[in-house]
Amino acid sequence: MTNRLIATVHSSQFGARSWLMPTIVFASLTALVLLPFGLNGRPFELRLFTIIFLNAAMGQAWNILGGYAGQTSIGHAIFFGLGAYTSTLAGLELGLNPWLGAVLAMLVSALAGVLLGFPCFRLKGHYFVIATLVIAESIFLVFTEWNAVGAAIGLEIPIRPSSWLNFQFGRDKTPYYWIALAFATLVTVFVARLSSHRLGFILKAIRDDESAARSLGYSLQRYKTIAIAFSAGLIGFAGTFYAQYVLLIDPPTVLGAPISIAIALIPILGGIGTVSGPLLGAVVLTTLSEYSRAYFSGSGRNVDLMIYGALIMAIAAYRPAGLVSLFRRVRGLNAPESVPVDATAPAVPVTPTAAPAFERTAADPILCVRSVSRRFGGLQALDQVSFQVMRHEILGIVGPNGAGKSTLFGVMCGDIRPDSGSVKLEGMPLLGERSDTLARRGIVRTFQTPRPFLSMSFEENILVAALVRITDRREARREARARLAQVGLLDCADRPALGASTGQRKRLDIARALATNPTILLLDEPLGGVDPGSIPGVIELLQAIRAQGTTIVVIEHNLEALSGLADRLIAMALGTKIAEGAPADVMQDRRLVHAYLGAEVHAAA
Amino acid sequence: MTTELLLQLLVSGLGMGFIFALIAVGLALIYGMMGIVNFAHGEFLMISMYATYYAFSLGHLDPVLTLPLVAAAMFVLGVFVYYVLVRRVINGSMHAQIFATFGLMIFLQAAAQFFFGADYYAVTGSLLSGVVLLGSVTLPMPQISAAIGATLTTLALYVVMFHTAPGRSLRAVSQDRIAALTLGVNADRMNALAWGLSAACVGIAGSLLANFYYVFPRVGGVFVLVAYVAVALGGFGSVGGALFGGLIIGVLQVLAGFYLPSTLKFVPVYLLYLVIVLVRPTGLLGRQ
Repeated sequence: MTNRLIATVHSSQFGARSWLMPTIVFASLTALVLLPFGLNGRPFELRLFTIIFLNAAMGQAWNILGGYAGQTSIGHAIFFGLGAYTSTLAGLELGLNPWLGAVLAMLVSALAGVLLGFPCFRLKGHYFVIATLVIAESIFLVFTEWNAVGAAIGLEIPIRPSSWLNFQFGRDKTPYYWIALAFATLVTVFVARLSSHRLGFILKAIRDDESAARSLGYSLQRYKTIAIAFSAGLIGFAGTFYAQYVLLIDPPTVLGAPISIAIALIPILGGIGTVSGPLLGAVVLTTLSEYSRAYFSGSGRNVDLMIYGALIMAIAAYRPAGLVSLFRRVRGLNAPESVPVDATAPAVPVTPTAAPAFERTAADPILCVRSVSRRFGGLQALDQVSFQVMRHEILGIVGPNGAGKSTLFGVMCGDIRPDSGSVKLEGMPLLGERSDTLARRGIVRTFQTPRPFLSMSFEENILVAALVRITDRREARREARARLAQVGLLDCADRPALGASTGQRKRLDIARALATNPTILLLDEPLGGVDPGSIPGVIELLQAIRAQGTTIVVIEHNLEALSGLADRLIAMALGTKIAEGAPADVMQDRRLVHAYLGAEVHAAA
Repeated sequence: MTTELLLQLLVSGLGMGFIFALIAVGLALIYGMMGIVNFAHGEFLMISMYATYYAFSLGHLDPVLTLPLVAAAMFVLGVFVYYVLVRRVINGSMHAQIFATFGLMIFLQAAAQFFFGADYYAVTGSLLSGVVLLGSVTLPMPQISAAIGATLTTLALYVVMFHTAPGRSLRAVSQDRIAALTLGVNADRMNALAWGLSAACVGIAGSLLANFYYVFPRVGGVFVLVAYVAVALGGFGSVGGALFGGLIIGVLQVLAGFYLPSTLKFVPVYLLYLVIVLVRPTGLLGRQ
């Protein structure tokens, strides 16, 4: 089911780029602009369309945070309500023009989003959802009691002479239709641009895999904060619009939990993380609720909500990618099975590997690990480990299970904080830096189990990494293709990463790390799970990478392969370094043999 | 604040706390089993409150008598919801899991509004009404029965979980699903059992609550948010922790209601959620 969701999300990035789409869009926009003249003052239809536009815009705005950045908020009424209250209070207390009030509202809502995100973005999954729920409910309750904002009675919007300048039109509701249409159009264009923009790619990467995005150098907090600021700011404008439209606001109508739910439901129903999803969701949900209200009178006795609920359940159970997935070819699943490139592609057509392009000197340490210790409960995972990584070398770390290799790896890439000791990169201390900071400083890792961004194609996976340092899209694309070629995956560039084989994923992981142009590449078992026939290819690739000037530290179980690859080996056992030196020497070391095979076998040998 | 007043607040807080605990225990059971938060849990509470109310007003059955019936009916509803809805998303994305029970929440709430209207109803004059005077402290009967009922239910749940074969299987699945599967435990059936037990717990809570709280379509929303906090406080997925968390919150909201306008009494509880998940995500009792 996850796969189905991701596959459809993926397909949304490739809309039809022919002349057909723009024509349809232009024609329908023109029709919508002219529609009020045809409606001839029929208030029900005019209101229906106005609310559809407003909901579509809000669904798009929610999607920036919920769909692209992957942070499910059921608290967006906070931003809607703050938007409505800000412009209204600014009008009442300061006499501020509603348009300026709208700008202020967007700023206040965006700021509220940033403040909410600051603590809450550390929470994952359900914890985040519930946090948004309880914060929204708290704010709702406080506004209900707070006399300065009208408490439970609410506020009346100050009446001004009807004019476009005053965002007020007396009895004529047609201008609201056009404003809402313009708002929905602008937000849709903004989100569509965003989804193919650098920021959009980064947000999708974070949604797909937070650890992998961070390992490339992206600060999760920073990008989620940007996403919520846009999302909340746009919802803030919707709040002001609504206040001007209905001229009376109170906590239940602008801050209540049903508002939060309604905003989230639009893209959820239509399709999370797609541009057309919120449009479709807004049309279906708004039409449902307006007609059921007209038919059953009053609040429609909540028939609309019963149908919503049933629809949402059906969507979750059968179509988690939303209604849009009914209309789209599901790309990930219909794409051809991935060709086992490991077997067919020639082994890594790259720069000659024979002579390293860089002179290696024994006395040029780039990374110094000194007396690092780390304890997990009763287990001393690392005990006073010290070593140096020399510039342009390939350093292998070996040892049996439980030797402390992975902990050491975690310390070097910033995921694990040691209890004592120091790590220095070119003389600068690193301890306490998080993995994204370390990545930006040139230490980039791969994962033991590769973690590609599953909603993206092979090329986009690398593109995200290249965008860390290259802001120009075209140049980043060139870089991405070059790296794909380097690992022998260029012919898969446009395939979804979802269908990649284990071997392809390993290469993809390496290419992605390379695209950030690391000084030191940390590889976590690059040969694990690779079929024996492909191992020479990977070894050749790693030698080529080193030849380009990258220092490599590699953890590996395959001692034989590693001894042919590494310049030096460090052997570990039970959290301590037991041997260090040339592969041939270390492999012969009694202590290593002992650690792997035990004393008796060694004695017998 | 006098000692008597404090004692009074403490007693009524604990009475409410047992209800919160009972609701939270059901949530924690499911979360512990399959990592799913049931957003419709509050609506299960609402349904059992309506059932209790209508049995009383139409069938003249006292809540004391309907309690086991409501619990049994809710057990069946929980199992039904598992097989029809939850089972389909159990291996799906977190999004799908959230929206499945979220959709159920919206559906049940709207359905209640459609069939029962938005009015508030109350059970009055049941066997469990009235007060008991203990020295200078007034003990309302409904709260006392809630405390007793919640304690007995939790004990029964404990016995089921730790001293019966299905209970052992249940715990096995919650600790290591794959390992339990290899040992021949039918995980699917255990999940269904967990949903049944969870719904039965909240059914008992609803029956007890109906004696001293209004019934209306949105009643679940208030209680379930508080129950989330209780679950977080006790450590997500810990049934014992949820009970403990519920009691703490019961007292906290009564004290908050004493110092703040009563509408704001839950705000400190909600803030407590944020503090807990940010500062001590394993809960008060959980290990770091």
